Amino acid sequence: MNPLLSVHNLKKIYGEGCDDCMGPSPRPGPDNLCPICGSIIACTDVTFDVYPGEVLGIVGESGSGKSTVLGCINLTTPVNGGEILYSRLQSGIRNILEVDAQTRRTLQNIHFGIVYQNPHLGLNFSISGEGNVAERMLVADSRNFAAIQEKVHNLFERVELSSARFKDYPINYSGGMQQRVQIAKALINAPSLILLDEPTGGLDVSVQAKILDLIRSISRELNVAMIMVSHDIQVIRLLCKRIIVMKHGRIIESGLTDRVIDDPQQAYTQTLVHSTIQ
Amino acid sequence: MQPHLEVINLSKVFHMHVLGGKEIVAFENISFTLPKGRFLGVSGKSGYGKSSLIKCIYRNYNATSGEILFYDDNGGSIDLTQAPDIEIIDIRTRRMGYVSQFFQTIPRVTTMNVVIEPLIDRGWKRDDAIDRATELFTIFDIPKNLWDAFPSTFSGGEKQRINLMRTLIDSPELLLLDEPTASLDRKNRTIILDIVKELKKQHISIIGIFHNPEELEMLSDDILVLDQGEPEREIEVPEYRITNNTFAFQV
Repeated sequence: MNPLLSVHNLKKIYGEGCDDCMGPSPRPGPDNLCPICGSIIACTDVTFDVYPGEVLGIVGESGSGKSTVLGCINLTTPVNGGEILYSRLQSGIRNILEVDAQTRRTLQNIHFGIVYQNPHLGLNFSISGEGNVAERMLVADSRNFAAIQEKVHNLFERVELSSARFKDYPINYSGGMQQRVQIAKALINAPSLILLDEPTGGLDVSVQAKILDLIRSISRELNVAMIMVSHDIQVIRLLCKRIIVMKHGRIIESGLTDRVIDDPQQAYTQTLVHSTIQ
Repeated sequence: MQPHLEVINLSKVFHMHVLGGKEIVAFENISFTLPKGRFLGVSGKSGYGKSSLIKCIYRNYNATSGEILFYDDNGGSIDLTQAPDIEIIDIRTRRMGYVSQFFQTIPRVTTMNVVIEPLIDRGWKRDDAIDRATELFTIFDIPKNLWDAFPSTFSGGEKQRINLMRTLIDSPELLLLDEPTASLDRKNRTIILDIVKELKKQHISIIGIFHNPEELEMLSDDILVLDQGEPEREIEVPEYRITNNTFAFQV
């Protein structure tokens, strides 16, 4: 099987940077700061593939670089090095870090969808829930109002948002409903890849379970690939067959999810598994 | 006979960083060949690495050294210790099944959906998958009122039968059994043993751990004995013949 997305040696540095941390293999320090110039190494040497239809998990502690990697793929975080090859553009396999502005918007609006932990990042709070999702269809060149409305309503039913609430503003939604609208917004243009950045963080356990069930059933029904970032290895275990473990901006271990959980190789992964699993 | 699985000098050592770098040897330098369609029983005391061996074959554990060659019909092979994860996922989906004594339930998913999921993963239509599962429910004696319930609430025997159904429904060519009859009552044990006998008749290659020596001898063509992490001897036992087969079970 050919990968949908191939990330090679991705690098993101916050700060001035120096020859060492901007180079191919920066010296590791005790944390995610460059030991020479003190710049923040948000991620470096990050290499992995995503295959069509799979859910790939990324776990790691706060500040390990998980969200940075998603931001780089979504082309919202400028990178300092590496390439991201994507196979579904009409022009063939392309490094999406080098595409023009129009292709970039096509990727962000049609090929990719993103769900943030913080709904303020994913939703426009000054328009209705329905409007949030419809707006995304407009940028993908849909113009027929009735067709847009029907598609949005069908999708809202799929993500189990009550029809009485379609026209409410996001501020009036519960945390779970905000995530459902974000998921609908991510799905509306039938993307190839959905980026999930802690989509259930901060939700109570029963709502979390329902959102996870929804994500699981969508990934199975629509065969859309997903990258799921979470610090909760149990959430990842439920959804992902393969995972990547990150620490200090680097990938320290990757493998089949059950293998990483049952036979963790690295010290940090062992600590993570032994801290979270009873 | 054509080999199906060849294990060469396989060792598993756990390096426990969380225990100050302590090393735990699960087993060392195991070699054996499983011919196609044979049942290899694995015996040995608790803690001698039987489960770890099976988990290395399924790649639930990373082997520390050695090779596990898994052959296809054309005589080609893939080393399961080195194959990329994505290939192992495909092999698990299409060719290899694993049943442990612990049922790994999927929360909030009904029995029917748990059982048909492997077929859906292989591209079956939902209706066809449900028909196939319905046949199996009869053979495995799962009453209809449980089909749309959550298995997490079931008895141990029911869970284990569903566990086995989920693994068998997509007809693996190699089956790994890690004490599937442990902690079951006589009725459930008999159901599961009868099904394993039937699989044997269909020449599915099986590696099985059974705690009960009678079960192990009854089912095994060959027995691998693990002793202090090393295979002590390989012995042949007579092939068991099924005399009272009432199953019409097609995998």
